[in-house]
Amino acid sequence: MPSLGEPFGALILALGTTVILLALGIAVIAQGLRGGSHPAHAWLVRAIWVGIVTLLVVGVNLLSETWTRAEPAGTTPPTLVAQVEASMWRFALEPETLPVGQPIEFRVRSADTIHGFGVYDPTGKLLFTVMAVPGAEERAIFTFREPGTYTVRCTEYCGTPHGLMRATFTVQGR
Amino acid sequence: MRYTWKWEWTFVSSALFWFAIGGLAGLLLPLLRAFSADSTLLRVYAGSVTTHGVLMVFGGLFQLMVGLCLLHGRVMGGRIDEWSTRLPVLLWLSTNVGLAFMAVSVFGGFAPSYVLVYPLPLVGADVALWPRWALLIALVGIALVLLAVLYLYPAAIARSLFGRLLPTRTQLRGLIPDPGSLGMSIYALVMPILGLPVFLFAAVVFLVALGLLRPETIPIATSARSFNVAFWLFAHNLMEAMGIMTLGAIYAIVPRYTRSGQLYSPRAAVVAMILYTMAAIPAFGHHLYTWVTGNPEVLQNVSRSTSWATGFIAATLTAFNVGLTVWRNGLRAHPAPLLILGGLLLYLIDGFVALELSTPAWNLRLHGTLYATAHTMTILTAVLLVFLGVTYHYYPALREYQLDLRLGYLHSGLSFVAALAMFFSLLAGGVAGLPRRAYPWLPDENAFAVPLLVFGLLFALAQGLFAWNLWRTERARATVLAPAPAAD
Ligand SMILES: [Cu+2]
Ligand SMILES: [Cu+2]
Repeated sequence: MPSLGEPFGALILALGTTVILLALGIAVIAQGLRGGSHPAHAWLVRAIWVGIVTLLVVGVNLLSETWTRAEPAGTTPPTLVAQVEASMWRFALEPETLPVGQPIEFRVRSADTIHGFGVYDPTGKLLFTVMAVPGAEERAIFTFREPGTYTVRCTEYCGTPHGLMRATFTVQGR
Repeated sequence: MRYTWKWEWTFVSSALFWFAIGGLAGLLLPLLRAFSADSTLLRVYAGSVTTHGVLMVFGGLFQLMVGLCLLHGRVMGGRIDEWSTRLPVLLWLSTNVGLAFMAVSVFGGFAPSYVLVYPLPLVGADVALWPRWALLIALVGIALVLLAVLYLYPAAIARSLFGRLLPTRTQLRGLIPDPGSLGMSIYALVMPILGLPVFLFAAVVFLVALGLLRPETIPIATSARSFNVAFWLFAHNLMEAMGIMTLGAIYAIVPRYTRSGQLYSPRAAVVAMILYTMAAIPAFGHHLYTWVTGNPEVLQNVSRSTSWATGFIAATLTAFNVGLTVWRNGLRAHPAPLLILGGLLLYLIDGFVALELSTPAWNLRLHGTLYATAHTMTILTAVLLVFLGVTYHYYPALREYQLDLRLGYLHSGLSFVAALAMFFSLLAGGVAGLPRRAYPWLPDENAFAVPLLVFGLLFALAQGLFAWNLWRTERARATVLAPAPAAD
């Protein structure tokens, strides 16, 4: 089962809240146009509302602590370092072949302007994205689960050819 | 019958002009993506992204708010003396001359996207992506627009509401029963301070671009990291300050279309707006989660909790307050409250997606994709719907003539449906991982642009109906000159 922390989970939750809010909104406007009425149990409505809201806030935030944040440096001791240099409009990766199942620390730098190091799995799913900021190094640790050809796409606008800024690398099984 | 020219109409009509140009540029985006992946069109695409964003936000939305908010201040008994009528002229010139400069620079090839992704403007000139003159003209334009947004508009608000720059204590207390003016005052109080760093940094960058200063001289202003922190402190809070003015407009106008004319709880409205302001200010760090190393986890958690607080304290209090107002007191059918309530509903629906993006774990998988575009587009569309509602409300006060209400209903319904459909089309593209502001996508991804184009055209059609309504009304007004129904 896909985790709620995946993009698809976010979309499903967004759809759910939209349906509820639309239904409530339409009900309120329709009641208003009909002339309105005194709500029977205003305090009960208030209590249910506060309850749902609190549950959602606390629930989602606690749950999200269990989802990976593309672990910042220091969380897992990395066994392998991959150097990434982004520049207008290419990515240079060193090495270009990475192992499966081993924590890899990506050290992401930019030579000119801001770029986004977006890593897509062989099915085209975005795994994580790290901003490459000139003048500073970003470090993110990630462990690949599947072998295959992975794609890198730039996820921060960096000039007219931004959409063409792509690269690939291979993840090999042991 | 005599009609006196209302200077606020100058702002409103200028806003409509920029909306038309920016809207057409916006339609080009899905059109290009759906039908072509031609690299010769890269410049057209980037120019359209830049034009669309800048003109819709500053030329259209900001200017529409300025006109209607200052009119609201006047209608509420604000003072306009001679000095303050000169201030609006300066404000208008600064905004529109600035935008004209930026439009010219885009025609010259300057296309750093509508968000100022520093240091791209400078680097782009260095690598001859755009000519240096276009960069310099753009920087002058940006400075003029910033001057309007950060200083002239707040000054105009203060002069209009208080007759002076700093309100007295009695005047401050007088804001509480009038949430419309309270929202404007919060904008006027917050923006000059939160925008100051980016304003100063931009001035330094301008000197660097002119070659008068070396970038190493003042590194705090010219380094990518510090500039972007200053930029997001400004840009995030500009959106929030516009959001607070929008809440103020909702609180001020919706009750006028109910039986009692009163808000369910005026006190809760004040509490919501003040809490919203306090929570929104430190939340700006949510734009920088993908600095996984540069933005420490502590700061990430501060932005996350304050973002969620903005949404859940302020938005739910507002939804509850406005919802109960309508439920209890009934609603008079009119396009103004319908557009405003539609805008509020869209604001709440989009708000949940904003909170998802404020959650670091989701952000790392969605930032930089169309998911983020969906949020940016929809919060602005929600604010637009509210202020279109305010336009219907204040039209008689502005022009002493009323718009056609039946066309107004069609306009409001169609706008809401199209905006919601665009929102979900963008969310779907974001979940599929499509990078935003990227052209071309991979060949099999072009299909994602088709629903965007269809619903974008539907939204444009709705605004076309509004334009037709305006044109018809203005023509009838010119020939008949019948006495207008009195404004509320
Ligand atoms: Cu790039
Ligand atoms: Cu923000």
